[in-house]
Amino acid sequence: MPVSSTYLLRRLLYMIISIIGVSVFGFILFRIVPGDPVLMMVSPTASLEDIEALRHQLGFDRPLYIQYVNWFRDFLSGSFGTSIRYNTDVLELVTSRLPATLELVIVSILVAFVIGVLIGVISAVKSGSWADRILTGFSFLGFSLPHFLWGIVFIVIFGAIAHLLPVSGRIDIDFEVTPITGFILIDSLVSGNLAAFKSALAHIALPAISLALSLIAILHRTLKSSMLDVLGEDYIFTDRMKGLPERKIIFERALRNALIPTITILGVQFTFLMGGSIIIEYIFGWPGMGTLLFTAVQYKDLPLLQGIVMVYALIVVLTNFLVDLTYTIINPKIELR
Amino acid sequence: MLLKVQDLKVSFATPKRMIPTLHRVSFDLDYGEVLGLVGESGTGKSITGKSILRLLPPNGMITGGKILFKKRDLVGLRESEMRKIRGKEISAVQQDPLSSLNPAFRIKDQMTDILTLHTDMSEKEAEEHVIQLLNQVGIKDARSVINKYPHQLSGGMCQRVMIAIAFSCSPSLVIADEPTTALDVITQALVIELMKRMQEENNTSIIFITHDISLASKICERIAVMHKGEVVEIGKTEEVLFNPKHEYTRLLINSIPKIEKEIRTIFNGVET
Ligand SMILES: Nc1ncnc2c1ncn2[C@@H]1O[C@H](COP(=O)(O)OP(=O)(O)O)[C@@H](O)[C@H]1O
Ligand SMILES: [Mg+2]
Repeated sequence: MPVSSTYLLRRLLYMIISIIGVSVFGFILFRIVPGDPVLMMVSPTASLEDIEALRHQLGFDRPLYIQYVNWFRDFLSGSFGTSIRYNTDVLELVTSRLPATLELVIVSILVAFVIGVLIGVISAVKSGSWADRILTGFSFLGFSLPHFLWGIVFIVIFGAIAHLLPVSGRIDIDFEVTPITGFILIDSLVSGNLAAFKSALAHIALPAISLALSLIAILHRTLKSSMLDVLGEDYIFTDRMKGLPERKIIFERALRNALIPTITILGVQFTFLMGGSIIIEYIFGWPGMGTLLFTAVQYKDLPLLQGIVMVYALIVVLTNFLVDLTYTIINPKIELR
Repeated sequence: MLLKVQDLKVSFATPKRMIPTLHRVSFDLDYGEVLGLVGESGTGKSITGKSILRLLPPNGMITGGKILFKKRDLVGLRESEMRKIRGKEISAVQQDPLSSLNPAFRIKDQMTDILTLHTDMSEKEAEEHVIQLLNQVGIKDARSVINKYPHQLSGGMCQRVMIAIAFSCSPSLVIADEPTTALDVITQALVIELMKRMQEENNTSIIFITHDISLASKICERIAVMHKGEVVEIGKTEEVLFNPKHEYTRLLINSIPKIEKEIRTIFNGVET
């Protein structure tokens, strides 16, 4: 394996520095934006003394660097503090919302992968045909609007006008699905509740597609061009010379080679979609970390805000690391099996 | 007569217009014969070979002529019919052995596919047959080689694998397009020797494409000289070499340093 221990050490150091950087940046940023978290907590009739007492109790009256050091000490011991708004442990709160977000992002990526690869292959094989032109046009459209605008467009078309698909929540409230993995699609299937699965599938359709569109466009373009390159290679000539059916040549022999550039794209896009999911969740009332983040901002719930940002940062840094690792392993010589 | 190419014309579509590339290419080939297709690069040798397989680049088109293979005209034959001929009746070896094998698949997968397609061998039988074939082309540790990827083998090894693939269904015709150009001199000689042996053992006809007339003279019974999309001269190797009729053939022979000497050593070598 072409990965040295110094490389791993360097990456680990880089990850730690990134995490600390994000924590400092977030800490300062959330405290300089206007709005007093303590005022959000007390009743409008509370006296000035009560407010100051609460502020002291929460530690918000201390110097910023002391607050940070205290927070960091707790963070190292695995504690993210207590949410002001929910009065619950932040870590517990965030991890209860994390599966919903991951489910949304992963389903988006799967949808994008299947569709993007398929239309990429079609565009390459029928390069220059009307089918290719239409698909390229759709791709361009998908790429030219941001996620949230697509979300709004879909809500209007499928929700408000056609009433075809639900536009809010993860599942109909009538269904009771016991969490096993936290992924509602899997949990409903595992417990054999097909009706619940259908409902969950219908609920995830629009947010997932809104989030997937830009990735579909990117995959379409990448795969079309890498597929065109591969189809002109000598080894594809060899396969044709053998008389192999074109379907086998394209979907087996050529596709495996053409997919290699898309692997890195998927890793980078995962973090990009994590970011995009924040606003998509908000638009579709998806009970994940994104909506939680909006609530935290709204109520200036500093511990919660900081906790959410740290989880996002951890996910991004870890994904980048894994992507780099896969890439280093695949890169020098292509070996997929 | 195995193959008769008659007034073959090929054009390429460019954004502006059709560019005629082959004009009136004609030659024939007997069963078990090795014919050299010789000429400088860009004269249309590879395009001729690809036309016979009906595997021209997407913008290329046969615009006239006939390719009579076993008395059947391949021009205008349906793609599904062509696919039964490719690999089974006509196969090819290309110039660059490393790039003509798929980097993402094991040697095994790239050798059994043609067998299971054209014969009624099972996957297992095909694998056994592949090991025999590899032994035949001089690869001894065939059992470990079949599990390797192309980049783990040398260029010479890859070309042996390609030759094994090309001969695996005992085709009547193998089109060898500069099969040794990418190899070093010693490997080149070994590969030529191997092709000659395989050809004799299977009584295969070969179209041997090369820009090197002295190399062609080592393996070919007859030589067709191509120039600017036409066959300008065709005849027995000795005749073409010692008594060239066409101006261009003379040029080709003169451009090779010390050709006379080399040819003498070859023919002396054959006689002794
Ligand atoms: N895909 C293509 N598009 C346009 N012209 C081509 C294409 N492939 C080959 N040609 C033309 O055909 C001519 C003959 O090519 P080729 O048969 O490869 O020559 P060679 O004798 O070296 O094998 C070249 O000069 C080139 O201009
Ligand atoms: Mg050529």
